[in-house]
Amino acid sequence: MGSRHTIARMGDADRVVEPGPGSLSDSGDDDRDEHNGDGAGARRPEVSALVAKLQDGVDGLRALPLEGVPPALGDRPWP
Amino acid sequence: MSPDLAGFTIATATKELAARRLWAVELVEETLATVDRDNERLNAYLHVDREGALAAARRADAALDDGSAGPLAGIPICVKDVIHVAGMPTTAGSSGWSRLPTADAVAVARLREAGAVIIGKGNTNEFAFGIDGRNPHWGDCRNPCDPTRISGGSSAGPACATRAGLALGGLGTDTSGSLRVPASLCGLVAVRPTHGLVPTAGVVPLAWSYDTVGPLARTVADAALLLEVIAGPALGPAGYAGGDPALDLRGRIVGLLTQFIEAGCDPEIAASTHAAAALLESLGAKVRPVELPRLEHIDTIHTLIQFAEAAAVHRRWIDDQRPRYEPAVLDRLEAGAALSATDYLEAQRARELFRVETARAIDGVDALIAPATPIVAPPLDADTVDVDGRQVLVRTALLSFTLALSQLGIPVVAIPLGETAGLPFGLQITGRPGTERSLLALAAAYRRAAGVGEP
Repeated sequence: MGSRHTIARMGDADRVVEPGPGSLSDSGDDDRDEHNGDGAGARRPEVSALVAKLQDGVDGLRALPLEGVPPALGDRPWP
Repeated sequence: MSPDLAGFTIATATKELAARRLWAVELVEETLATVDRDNERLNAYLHVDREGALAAARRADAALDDGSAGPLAGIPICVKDVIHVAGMPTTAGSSGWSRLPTADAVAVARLREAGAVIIGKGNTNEFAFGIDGRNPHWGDCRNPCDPTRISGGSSAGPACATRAGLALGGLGTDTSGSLRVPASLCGLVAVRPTHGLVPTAGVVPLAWSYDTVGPLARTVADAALLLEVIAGPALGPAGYAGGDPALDLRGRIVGLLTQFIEAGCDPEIAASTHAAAALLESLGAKVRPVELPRLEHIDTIHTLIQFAEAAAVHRRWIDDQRPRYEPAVLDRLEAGAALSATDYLEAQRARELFRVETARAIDGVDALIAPATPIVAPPLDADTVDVDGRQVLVRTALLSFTLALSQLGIPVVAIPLGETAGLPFGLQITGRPGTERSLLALAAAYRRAAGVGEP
């Protein structure tokens, strides 16, 4: 078997390759509106629900004894 | 000869290849024939490089003949399609985002330097942002033990290929559990290395502060060999590197993470985990229950950090590619983009608190054990699954035992633990950062003592 993808010229590391068969864009159904495709419109309900749940979680984190605890960013030795 | 791939391991293949009773070209031809026969049914590979694989096999044979062969000469490997392999497309399992890399990811370069033959690119959840191995663009990866069920993901293709004989080993990534979950559901060994041990250069990121690159294999010895190669000198010279494990575990203290089992777990998986603890005790280890702090906050911590980091990764192209994203992935990315910097930092601070308190809780313990998943592979079309009498989202169930360990940057070895109705489930063995060799030795000792799978 071979590749399922449309293979562009080799050696072009960052070139975007056209989508292959089975891609959403090949289906003929442009669901841009459904997905709030302009990127700047109102937040979709599914996303709002996720964000609300996460905000609740953040409130819970703020109740933790975090005084003096730095963020876990970068390499830090095992305590 | 025509090698029987179903019974092969990397260790047995390298022995046969070194003795020249087997040629790398034969092994790769047989692997490609298995791919031809089974890939349509299993969907393990998104791309196969037949000519490149055969050329690499011929080079491996030449190196084996002249004595210059590396430790993986001629071994067929499946690479997850978020990891760059020069000359093969990287789609990250997406429909509209693709790259043609001119250079290998560091881990792939190390595999090729050791003589491994890259067969192709393995199926994955879109951008590795999923845990079930389902893919709406290229087709779901299927579980070789029962193709009506999920393989687990997101390192789905490499797991499926390794289990089904479409490769002898796999290279994948683990951010939340993406090596350990498919290993559990497909009956394989996986290693999530210490964060940073294996370079992630050349890997499409999901969430930087969690992303790791690691191997999938049929035995602990094979996984140890693959890890040895991809980690390079950073792994350190001393300790287990495959071969005979020490079966005397006297003086070792093993913690059993009982909370995971009590929180909801298939009774057979719970019983097998307790049986594994008893077996380790019979080898001389002292086993004691260990409790991790703050587990009720782990899902929030992980979700905030992962979504925010993933949103940052995708920020450059999401507006142009929005219609092409899988809806569930798009939801997560947009939610991540809506979070504030302070939300993200609160989560990272809570993560650090968890890390400090966990280090205290496991002080004096050499290793911890816990089930890898609370369930066996669900059917492909299941959205929810029964966990000990409760209906739980498949994604939530599959991640429930891996997320906490992902916060800590520590190594985790997943091994097959048992089967129920022919469906495998796994065990996680974890410990302090940098203890991969010690954890692999413990895993090999367990497997040997249990009489399952290790030579």
